[in-house]
Amino acid sequence: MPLDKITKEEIWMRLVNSEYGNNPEKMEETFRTIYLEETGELFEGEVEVFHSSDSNVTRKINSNYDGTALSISSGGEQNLYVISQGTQGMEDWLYNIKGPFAGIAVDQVEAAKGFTDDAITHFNIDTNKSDVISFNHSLGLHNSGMTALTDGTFDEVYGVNGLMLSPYELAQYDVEFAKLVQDEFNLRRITEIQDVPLEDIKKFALDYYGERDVKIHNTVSEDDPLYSISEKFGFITEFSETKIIDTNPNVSGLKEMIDKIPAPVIESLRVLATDYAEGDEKGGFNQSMNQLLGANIESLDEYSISGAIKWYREHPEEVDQTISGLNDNLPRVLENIRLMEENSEVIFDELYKGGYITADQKKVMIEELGNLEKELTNLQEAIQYNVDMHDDDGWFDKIRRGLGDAGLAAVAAILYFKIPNILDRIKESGTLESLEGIVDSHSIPEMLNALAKGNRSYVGKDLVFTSDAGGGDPIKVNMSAAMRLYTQGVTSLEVKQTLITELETLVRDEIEFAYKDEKWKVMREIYNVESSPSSYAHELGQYRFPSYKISSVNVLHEIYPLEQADLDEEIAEMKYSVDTGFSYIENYRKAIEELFKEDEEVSALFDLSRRI
Amino acid sequence: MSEFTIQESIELIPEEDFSHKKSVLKRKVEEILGEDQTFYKLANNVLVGEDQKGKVIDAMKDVTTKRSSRDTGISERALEKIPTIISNFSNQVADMKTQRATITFKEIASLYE
Repeated sequence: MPLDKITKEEIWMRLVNSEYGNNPEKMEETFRTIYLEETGELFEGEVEVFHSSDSNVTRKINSNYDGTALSISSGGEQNLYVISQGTQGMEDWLYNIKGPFAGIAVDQVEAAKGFTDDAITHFNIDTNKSDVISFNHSLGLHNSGMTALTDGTFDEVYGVNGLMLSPYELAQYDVEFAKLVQDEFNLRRITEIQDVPLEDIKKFALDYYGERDVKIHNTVSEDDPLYSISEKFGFITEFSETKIIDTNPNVSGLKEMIDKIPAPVIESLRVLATDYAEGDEKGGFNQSMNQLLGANIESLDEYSISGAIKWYREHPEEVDQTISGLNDNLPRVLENIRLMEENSEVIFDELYKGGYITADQKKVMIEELGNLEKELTNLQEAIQYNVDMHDDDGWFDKIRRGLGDAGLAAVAAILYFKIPNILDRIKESGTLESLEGIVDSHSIPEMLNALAKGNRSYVGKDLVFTSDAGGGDPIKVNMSAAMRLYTQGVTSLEVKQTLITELETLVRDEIEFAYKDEKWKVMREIYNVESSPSSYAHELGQYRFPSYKISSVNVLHEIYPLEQADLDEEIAEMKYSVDTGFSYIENYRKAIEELFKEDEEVSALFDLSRRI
Repeated sequence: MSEFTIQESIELIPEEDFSHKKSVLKRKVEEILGEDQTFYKLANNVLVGEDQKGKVIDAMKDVTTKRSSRDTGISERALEKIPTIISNFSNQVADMKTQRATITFKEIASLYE
C-alpha cells in the first residue's frame, strides 16, 4: 500500500529535513518528489497541507513550535502525518534548557498536542479509522513523544536524533503522574522532585508509562551530542525503540567519551542549566545571570563608568544587592565549576583523542577553565571580605574610610573584566568552531548518508547517484537537481520566452511606435503652421521685421525613417537560445541516462517527474 | 506690394527628455538575465562538486558553460546597447522636430492695398 511506504526511513527523514525552511505551499510537491525519488513510483493519492502558523490553537500558545501536518489519502485509506521541527535558533535553544533539560517549561509540548488536535479537526480525520503518525527531528521528538505518551496524541512517533523524555518534565506536564510522584516520594511540592535520585524517579516513570500503547522509534547517530548526554541528563531512552547508527566513522563515538566523564560533572551542568532556565523564565538573560550568580549585570555598567568608589557612593543599593546576591549564589556555582575544572583533563583529553579538538585547543580550554575557577574563588573571597565588614559596623562606613574599596573593586573587576576576558580567550581559541563537527552528527543528511545503500547518497535535501561509467573517477550526479532541471528548467525557459516577448513589445512601444507618434505630432504641427502661419507669428520671429507680417510658411518635410534604434539582433539571439534550451535539457537527460545506463530507474524518474 | 522670403530652421515642437525609456527596457533585460541565472543554477547543481572529471561530464560542463556565457553575453550586450538606442531615438526625434522652412513676409501696408 502506498501509505505504508511513507514510514520508510529515507522518506520520512527527508520529509522532516525538507520541512525546515520550506514554503508550506510547496510541501505537497516536496512530498510527491521525495516519494518518487525513494520509491521510483508516482504517488497517485491526495495530499493536503496544514502549517502550524495557520493554526489558531498553536498561535495562542505562542511557543515557537513549528510543524506541518499532511493529510495523505490513497486507496480509500487516509492518515495524518505531523512533522515537528527540532531546535531552530536561540528561542528553541533556550526552550531546550527550560523544557527538556530543566523540566520547567512545557509549552512546546502543549503546542504539539494543540496543533495535532487542530489538524485532526481541520482535515476531518476519523481517528478510529486513520492513523495519526508523527515525524520528528531532535527537540521535535521530545515534544511529540511527551504528548504521545501522556495524552495518546499519536499512534506512532518516529524521530531522527530525537531528544527523549525526562521524568522531571513529565511531572511538570502530566498532573496525574505528578500526584503519584508526590505520594510515592513524600514530596510536599512537586518542585522537590529535583531532590529525588534520578534512578528512582526514572524507574517510577518507566513503571507508570510502560504499558502505554504508543510506539516511539528513534534512529540516532552514535556521534550525536544530544544522544550522548541524554542518559546522563536523566532522559529515559527506554521509552523508545532506539536504533543506533555510526554516522561519522572518522571520529570515535561521542557517547563512549561522555560515559567516561564522571556523573557528578554532568549533574553539575544540569544544576547550572536549571538555575539559568529558572531565571530566564522569570525575566530573560539578565534575570538568568542574576539567578545564576546573584549579580545584576546591568548595574556593572555604572561601575565601569565611575569606578568602584563612585559606584558605591552613587548607587549603594546596587552594590549592596550585587554583594549579597553573589554571597548567596556564588558558592553553588563555584562548587559546580570546580567539579568541572577538576575533571577538565578527562573532558578535553577525550575530545582531543576523539578528533574533535586540537592539542592547542585542549591546552587553552584546560587553562581557561582553571582561570575561571581561580577568578570565581577570588570573587568569593572578595565578597566574603566585604560582607564581613558589613557585619561589623556597616560596610558603607568602612568603604568611606577607604578600607573596603579594594575588596569592592576586586569584585567588580572580576565580574566586569576578568571573567569576560577568559570567555574571550576561549572564543579566540576556535574550540567552539571545532566542536561544530559534533553538531553535524545531529543533522539529518549525515544520518541519511549513513543509511543509504548502493550508489545512493544525499547532499542537503537532495538525492545523489554515483556512476562508474564516466570514464574516470566515480561521478556524483544530484538526481533531485537533474529532475528539477528537467521540470523547472522547462518552466524557466517558458518564462524567458514570455519575457522576451515582453521585451519585444516594449521596444516596439517605446521606440518604434513612439517614433511614429512623434512623426505624427510633427506632421500635425507642420500642417498647423502652414495653414495658419499668423498663429505662429511670434515663434516664427515676425517681431524681427516690425513692418512685415508672415503671409505663408512652407516646411520642407525632412522626415527620415528611424535608424539604429532597435534590439532586433539581441532579441533574435535570445529566441534562438530558448529554442535550443529545450533540446539542451533533453540532451542533459540523455547524458545522465548514459551515465546510468544499467539503471532503468533513472529513465523512469525523468519520465515521472514531469507528472508531479 | 513688398514681400520677401527667408529660409531658416524652425523648432516645431520643443525637445523632450526620453531617458526614462532606458530604465524601462533595462529592467526587462535584467529580468531575462535573472531568469537565465535561475536556469543555470538548476543546471549547475546537477553535478556534485566542481572537480569531477570524465568524458561525459566534461561535455556536459562544456555545453552548460558555453550556453551560460553566451546568454549572459546577449543580455549584457543588450544592456550596453540600450543607452545608445535611446540616444539615437532622442536625436532623431529632435532632428525631426526642427525643420527647414521657407517663410514669406509681406509689408503690412501692402496687405491693405
